[in-house]
Amino acid sequence: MDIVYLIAIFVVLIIYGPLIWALYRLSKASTP
Amino acid sequence: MVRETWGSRVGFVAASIGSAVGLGNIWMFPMRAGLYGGAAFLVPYLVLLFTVGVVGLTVEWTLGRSTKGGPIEAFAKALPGGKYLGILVNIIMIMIFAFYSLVLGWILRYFIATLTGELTKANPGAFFDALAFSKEALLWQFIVIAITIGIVAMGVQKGIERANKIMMPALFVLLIMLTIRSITLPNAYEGLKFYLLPDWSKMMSGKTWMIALSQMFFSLSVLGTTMVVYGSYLKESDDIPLSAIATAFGDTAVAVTAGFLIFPAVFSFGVEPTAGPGLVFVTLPMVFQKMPGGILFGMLFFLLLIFAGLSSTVSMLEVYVDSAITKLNMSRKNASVLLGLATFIVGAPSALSPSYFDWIANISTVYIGPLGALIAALALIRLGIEKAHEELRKGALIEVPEAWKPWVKYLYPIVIIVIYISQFVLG
Repeated sequence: MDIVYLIAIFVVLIIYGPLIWALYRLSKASTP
Repeated sequence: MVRETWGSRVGFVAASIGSAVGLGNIWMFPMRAGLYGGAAFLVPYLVLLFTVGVVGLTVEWTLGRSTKGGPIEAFAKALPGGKYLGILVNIIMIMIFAFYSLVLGWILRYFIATLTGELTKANPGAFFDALAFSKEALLWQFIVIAITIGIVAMGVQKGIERANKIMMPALFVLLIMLTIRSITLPNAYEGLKFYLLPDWSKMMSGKTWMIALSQMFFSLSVLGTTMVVYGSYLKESDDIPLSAIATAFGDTAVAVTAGFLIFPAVFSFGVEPTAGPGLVFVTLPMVFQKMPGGILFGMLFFLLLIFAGLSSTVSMLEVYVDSAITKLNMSRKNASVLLGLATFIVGAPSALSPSYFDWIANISTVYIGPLGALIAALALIRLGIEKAHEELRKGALIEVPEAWKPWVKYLYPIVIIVIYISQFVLG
């Protein structure tokens, strides 16, 4: 695969990964 | 009077991401990343996001929650003359909303012009010149302020939180839909290459780090105002540190994705990439004119900007509406309407005079605004760093390192001063 596409996938993962993890933890904690 | 609180942790984060995400995420971050190292720009950006951005959010939310008040209350409890500093940052917030509402008014007009097809026939440059500083712009500015008043008047949970719980997911859905369309255009690869191909030599340059620092800091709305107020609506059982990470990454996700949307589209149609208002009001409308299905693409793009802008204007008005409720015993509805209208009076000349627009924008965002972050940091330090750390740990879903204390006490205020000075050095 072309390096630019690999970088694109990597960038998406390192930004959206922590966001989804944090939102998941917060929403789980919100449930009584 | 019982202070309002957030309905849920996710609702609070949605509102905070909404406050942080603004036009700068879309018209400034992608171009800066493209010019200062591509994907390599993310290295300094993410390092600073954790060490300065997340810390800044924790500082302001902790200050707000521990003093149970906005900047006037919080600064008055901690600093001599703090009450007046609080009033000053409230005035600054009025000035920011005053000119920001005009820019958002232009966007609203572009949204309508795309919807009616006017923009497909017009020259975008000429269209913008005719609109920007005109009596018509005044009307759109008023509509933006009126919508903001409507949301803020409904209260923290029923207005701000509910609006953001709709606008933020919608913003991400729009952003992802538009990005998929953009990266599947012919020649989109050239745009991705410009945006992402790393130039590691740029990462070593001090200027790149300064640009990343300033971009990140201003993007997160850490100005000792909106975030202090939003923090004051937190309950003791609510988390601060994980919410700060979610907000920082939510804000960054919008900025990073905007680059995936903008550059492939711009390069696909052979248009020169730009930044700032020129990108949104001239360059991209030119791209929409050339693109198959450009009317729909353009309409959704301007809708995305409206959500990004409105979620910020709501947080701006909330700062001084909260001050009026707590300090002047006004009802929320009366405070929202009266102060919204006052903002319109302050902002109206900016719709007619470019020099007034520049003056009010520069005073509020460049010369005085960033000092709010410094005042908030000093106020928290004055209240006691041990006490602050204890407050921060209440309800926390993740551990807060001990290093937070010396970092906030000694280094964070210095970083803010560096950011303040760097604006004048970097231009």
